[in-house]
Amino acid sequence: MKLNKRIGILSLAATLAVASGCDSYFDINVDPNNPSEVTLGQLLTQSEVTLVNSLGIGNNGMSTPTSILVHQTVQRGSVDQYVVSGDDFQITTSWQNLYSGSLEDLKTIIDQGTEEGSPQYVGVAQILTAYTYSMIVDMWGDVPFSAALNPQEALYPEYDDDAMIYPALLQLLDNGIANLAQASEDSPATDDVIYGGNLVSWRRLAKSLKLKLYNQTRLVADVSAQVNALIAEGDLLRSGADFELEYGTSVAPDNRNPAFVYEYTLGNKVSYISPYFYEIMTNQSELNDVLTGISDPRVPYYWFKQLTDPADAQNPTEYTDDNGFLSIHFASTGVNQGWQQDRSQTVLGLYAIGGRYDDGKGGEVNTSGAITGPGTVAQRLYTHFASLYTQAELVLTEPGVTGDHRKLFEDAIRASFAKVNAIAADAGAPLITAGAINTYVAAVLAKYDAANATGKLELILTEKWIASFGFSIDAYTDYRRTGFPVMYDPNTDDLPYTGTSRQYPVSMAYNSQSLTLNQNAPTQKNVTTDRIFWDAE
Amino acid sequence: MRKFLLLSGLLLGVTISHVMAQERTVTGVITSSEDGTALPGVNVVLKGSTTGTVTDTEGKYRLTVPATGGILVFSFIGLVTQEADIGERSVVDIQMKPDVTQLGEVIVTAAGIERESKALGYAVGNVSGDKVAQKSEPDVLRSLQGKIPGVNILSSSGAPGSATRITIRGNKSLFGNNQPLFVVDGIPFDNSYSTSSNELTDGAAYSSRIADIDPNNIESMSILPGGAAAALYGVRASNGVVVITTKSGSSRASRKGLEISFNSGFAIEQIANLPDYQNKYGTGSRGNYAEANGSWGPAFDRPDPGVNYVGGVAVPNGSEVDSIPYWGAYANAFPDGPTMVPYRAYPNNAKDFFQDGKVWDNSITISGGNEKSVMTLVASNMNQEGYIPYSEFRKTNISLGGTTQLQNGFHVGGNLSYINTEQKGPLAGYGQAGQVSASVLSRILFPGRNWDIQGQPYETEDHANVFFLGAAADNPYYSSKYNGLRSQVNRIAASINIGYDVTDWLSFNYKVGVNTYNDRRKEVTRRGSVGAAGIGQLVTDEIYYQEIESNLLVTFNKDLAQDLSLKVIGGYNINQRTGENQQVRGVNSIAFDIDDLDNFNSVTPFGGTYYRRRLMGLFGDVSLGYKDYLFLNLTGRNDWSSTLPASKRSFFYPSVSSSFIFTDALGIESNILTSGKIRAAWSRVGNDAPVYSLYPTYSLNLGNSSGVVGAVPGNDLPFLGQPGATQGTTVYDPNLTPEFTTTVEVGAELAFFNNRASLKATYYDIRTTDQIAPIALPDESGFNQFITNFGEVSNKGIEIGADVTPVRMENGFTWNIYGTFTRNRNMVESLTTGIDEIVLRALYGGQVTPVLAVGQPYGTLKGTTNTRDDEGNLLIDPATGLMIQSNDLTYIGNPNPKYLASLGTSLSFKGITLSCLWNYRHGGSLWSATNQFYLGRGVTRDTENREGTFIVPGVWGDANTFQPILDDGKKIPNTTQVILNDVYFQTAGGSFAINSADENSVYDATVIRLSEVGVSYDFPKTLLSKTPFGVLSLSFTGRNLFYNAPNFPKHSNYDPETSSFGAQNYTGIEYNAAPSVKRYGVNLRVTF
Repeated sequence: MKLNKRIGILSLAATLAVASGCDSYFDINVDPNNPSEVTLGQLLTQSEVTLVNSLGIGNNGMSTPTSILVHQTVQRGSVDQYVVSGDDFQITTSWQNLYSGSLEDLKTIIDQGTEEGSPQYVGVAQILTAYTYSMIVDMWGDVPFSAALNPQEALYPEYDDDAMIYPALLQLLDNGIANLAQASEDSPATDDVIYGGNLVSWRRLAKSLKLKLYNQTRLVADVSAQVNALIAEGDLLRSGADFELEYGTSVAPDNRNPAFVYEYTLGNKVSYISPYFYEIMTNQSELNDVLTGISDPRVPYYWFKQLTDPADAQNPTEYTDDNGFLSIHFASTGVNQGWQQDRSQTVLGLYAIGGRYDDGKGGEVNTSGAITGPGTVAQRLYTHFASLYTQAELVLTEPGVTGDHRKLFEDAIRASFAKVNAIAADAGAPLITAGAINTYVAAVLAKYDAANATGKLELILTEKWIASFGFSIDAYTDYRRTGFPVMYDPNTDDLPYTGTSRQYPVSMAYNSQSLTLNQNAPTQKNVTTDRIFWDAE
Repeated sequence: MRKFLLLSGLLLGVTISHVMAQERTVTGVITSSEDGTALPGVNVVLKGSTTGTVTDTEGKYRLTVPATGGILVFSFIGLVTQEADIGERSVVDIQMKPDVTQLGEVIVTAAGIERESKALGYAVGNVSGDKVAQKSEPDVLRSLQGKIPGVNILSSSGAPGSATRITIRGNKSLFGNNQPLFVVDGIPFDNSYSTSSNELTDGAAYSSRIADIDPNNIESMSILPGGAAAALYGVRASNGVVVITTKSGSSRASRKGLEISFNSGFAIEQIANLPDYQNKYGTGSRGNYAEANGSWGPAFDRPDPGVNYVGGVAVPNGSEVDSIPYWGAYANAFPDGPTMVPYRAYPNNAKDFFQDGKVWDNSITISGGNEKSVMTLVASNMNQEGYIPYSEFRKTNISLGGTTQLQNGFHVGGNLSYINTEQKGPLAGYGQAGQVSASVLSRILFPGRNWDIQGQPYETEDHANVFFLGAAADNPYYSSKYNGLRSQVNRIAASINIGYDVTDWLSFNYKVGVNTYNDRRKEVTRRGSVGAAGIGQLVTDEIYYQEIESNLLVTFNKDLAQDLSLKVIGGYNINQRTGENQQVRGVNSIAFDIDDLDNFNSVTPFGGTYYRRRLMGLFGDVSLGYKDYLFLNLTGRNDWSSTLPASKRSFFYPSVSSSFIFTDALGIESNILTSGKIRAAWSRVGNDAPVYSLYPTYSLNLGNSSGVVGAVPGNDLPFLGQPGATQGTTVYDPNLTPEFTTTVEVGAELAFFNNRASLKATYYDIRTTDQIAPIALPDESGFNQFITNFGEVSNKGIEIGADVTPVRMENGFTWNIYGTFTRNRNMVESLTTGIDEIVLRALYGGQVTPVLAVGQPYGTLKGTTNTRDDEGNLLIDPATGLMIQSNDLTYIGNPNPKYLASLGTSLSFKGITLSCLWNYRHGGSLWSATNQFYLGRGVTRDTENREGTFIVPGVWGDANTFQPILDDGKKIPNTTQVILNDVYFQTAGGSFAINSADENSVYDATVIRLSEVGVSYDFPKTLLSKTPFGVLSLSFTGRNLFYNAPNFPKHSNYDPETSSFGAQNYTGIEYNAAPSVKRYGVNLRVTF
């Protein structure tokens, strides 16, 4: 009996244990640490920051390689030889962050916002989506669009013809504009870190972006009617409402300009200022005479010279100026190209990345933070001045477009200087005087007036290129569209140690990882011959 | 190996015999023929009756037997059963001999079930505790190397406590864990490896948690490589199981009533591999001096100028340097320092940085009891100082275990063990391109030859780092002293078991246990380091893990007929695992030397995870034995897992195995073939899914510093006070089904010449199908991966173990040789429709990448190559004279070794034993950053002969088209001269080392190694009889005293058995991992 009782107890224990194996015991597969629902505003904040930083001049952004290609900056590395590979860090990371980061979240905002009855969020997300795709097309050409971002339907999206994507983007911008005007359950506010919920600014941006897309396709389509309508409407970007992301000062969480963090706070420095760019702005260029005779008063805002005397450089130097400017050449195999110059090189300045205003006194940028900048300066994407340069180009070149291109050009230059001064004012740096601006504008306009139509276009695009410093994707696009500004050629600069066997890349290589993973992807392109559809060569 | 058992069944099987009229009493003492000590627990049975008893702790027995005649049978598992005619005797003393027949071994298999080796239809590897303790090796796994066929052990680095990777019969899971399940005293012992930072850039040499095991407390280890052995352990057994029995957890009775044993060891460890440095040239480039990272500068003390290279033309270089300006960083930090310093070599500037490490190891084991109760206590402490200054690993273990028989027939036992592990490790890795590195090893293995590292300070008065490269890297002295990982693990393993024997053929056994730890980590980068932006950073990582397991076993054991035995085990197993971690980061320190979050101006959360999973299994195991020579074992298990969809939650998997002792069956009596067994097994093991793999979630505030895919690039959140959310990067399959691993194995175990030689061989074919793994998606899908069932991986291999004793003389002189051979062929058989390759882990953009590709072995390395023409000639850019790198990525190496072999030998005579163990690893590729830097930085003697110019053999090619340049249709042999500097370091790319195609840094990692050398002396018993000591032995051990990897650059002296990824699945990639160590140790063992 006693024995049976014990067996009974053991069996009971076993049965209980087994019986507890009912479903509730196993229904614990719900992650308590990560939500399955979030708000539209949280998605908007993250997608905006991701989008801007993926396009900007920080280490993760496409402005970094494109600024090398448009000879504003120089970095050692493969792009330095016009090698653009599908494994380049910025190409792989920005492709990833744009598609699976911001575009996917923007799609969620559009879907969720439609469901929740918040069309104003939907409209902002549509405008951002259209802009992002336009940048992707401008860099890569044929890309996944219609089948993208929908894994339930297509794990491996097909690539669309780039010429077919632009019309869809224009439609998307129109849809966005329409949605902004609708009544909305929730509306973007401070969670919109670009425009703070200002829907008028979003609308003007959308229309300005339409104008930008028309301009970029003007060589392959007649856009004059659409352009005239947009300009006549007068609802384009205004001063003080640039499409840009202003950064903060917080170190943790790090809200500072990522390029500033990279160049000013980590010890090492990556970017040099292109000597070509430097010489044009300082009236020394023998390779490009478009602005000969004109010294640019924006120089102290563009870069900061750590040295006051190049003789103080820590290592033998490749390119210096007496004032302490120190850099290296593009595509150089010079003896002194490779030395570390972190304590000596000229670094990106206040206007570009929120670095230091150059008062000419020098100083070592290092981790001590004694010589530093505000770090909050915005990453610009599309500005009032860029929109004016775009209009000037359209009026100048498109026969059917009406307007005063000289006036637009002058407004654009003045807007460019106003932008520098606005940043200088925020940072407590001295402003460029009205006199200096007027002198500069007059000198440029004198050249403009003397130039033929091609020369005028060259001046517009050269000024746009100079003003674009800090955001280079559009400059890269403009150069490929128009051939201006004339770019540095390392093979014809009379320096024996610069040169490359490779031709200028006319588009970006596809992220090679995506090519491997996507069975519907095309083969890797030849970046020296595969042009974007708007590139008439 | 022998295993002493107190099988409760046998104890309880003894019933009080009927008292007969004509009776007498027999007494006796049972001793060991080996050393004369008393043997407790031996069964003494009167043949043909139920009368019997067991010996007490002093080996004595007393048995009532009939007045005349009778035969006593003495048996004990692991000893040769003996029979003795009682005759007229009243005292029968017996000496029992160990059963040296290999097939007589008793082996702990699944769920603690002990089986005789001959009944096993599958391979099992066994190592006794004495093979891993006393070897001057604090890491249990590393001391296993070469001792068990089928096992592949790879240490990650020479830093104390750094992880060791073990795989059994290859990698089976595409992305899941490929390490075996560790089971210690019946309860799973988590061996996870987690990183707190990226180990390539700023991480550390993290431990894997098996490092918590104390080698001194190991009684025995069994390796169950195949699925058949593992079926009862459930889903985690598909990678094999390492069953560890500890001294405190085993129910071994002490041979004496009380035994105290004391082990003490001391070892010195040194860095095993530094290259032969060249000391002719200092820093600079192309013969010119500069404060550079590479030693391509002017020669020391040289009257004749070198060559310079400008615009493709070699020109004489007039510079002759005998003194150089005080290094800029030093001049900055110490304005009062010298203006100029001599330009000369510092030949030992790398070697002198490393110190002699030390390992102290002390343990005491106390065990005692009687025939009913046993208790063991183990206390041990190990203290290791590494060869990198300030690196330490300390381990303290206190364990108590015991079992007892209760009067009411229950037998109960318990085990409690507390382990404290402290690691202080250096930051490892190199630092991503363009970023600075706070790692100790970022430069010290290839320092500029004229760097006076020892003669110059490493910090300013304000604790700012000072180094020859300025902001690019920390001074190794600074980094090792101030930066690093501090990890403090507290681990508790506790279990109880209760058994009850209903009859002599039916018993119940229940065990429940918990194994839990927390790992409190701090990763420190001090203010003043070049890392963490120079403002100081502390990342804390609180890791918690808990595993609860309970098992019920019902055992039915009965002979069905004269020659047919049956054993049935049924039971259930419930397992719950919970893991949690939370990281917090503080930046911008206030006081320099306070590594506490309160000391940081900004403190933010830095990511965390939580998971809990449950598993329940019901299992059965049926063993049939026929005439002790034919055995059949069937198992089946049904699991229910919380991680699978409700409809797919339950799954079943079986196994069948058989062994046949053909020598017994066929009655082969031969002096040559002593015994022979053939075996075969087929098994399937199911596996469930990772937790939370069924539905998508959002991530909150996922910022750049998390380093996680899908995070905001460049900034952290909240941004300007605004929180962010992002859709997770994974698409889920709501209809996941379990994955299965199917193993077929056949083998033979043969013993020859009266067991003087033995051979065990196994062939296996393992297929893992329907794997639950992520398919990487292209980013344009909006996601990064899709978790679903797909793919098949196969592992086919041969394992051979041989043991020969060519000499065993009467005077005790014995010479033994043993060897193992392990060959595993691993192949990704299929993935899924349209996918023939998946990236195993994306490393840096444009760097070598481990992939899973159909038709390629696991983790094949993919990377860039140099372009070649159709005849295989290198294409050379006429302008640079160097190679043209291809844009395409191709397979450039297989990290899996072709085979592993080991050969050990020992000579013993009168207590002196000499032994050594050689290990050989053939093949397998290693992409080595260290070697790339050795060559590219021009620091080793491989690049010493650099005068003059060189021509890279090849034909001229076009850098745009990657085609040969033709002249009249003919290829043009390269005639462009280059200097050696450019051959190994070329900013524009195309060199053989730095800025080269990935294939140039891939080496064949074949290596031969003298892993262990030992001399030990056991003081003779006669000498000890007047002392309180039972055993006194002294041994000297050398580890890793010699190795040679012939396919690496000659002067690199490189040891390729390393991996930058610790215990993770990707091997064959090394990014400045800490070099391996060699040790010289002395150990003392005493028992009282």
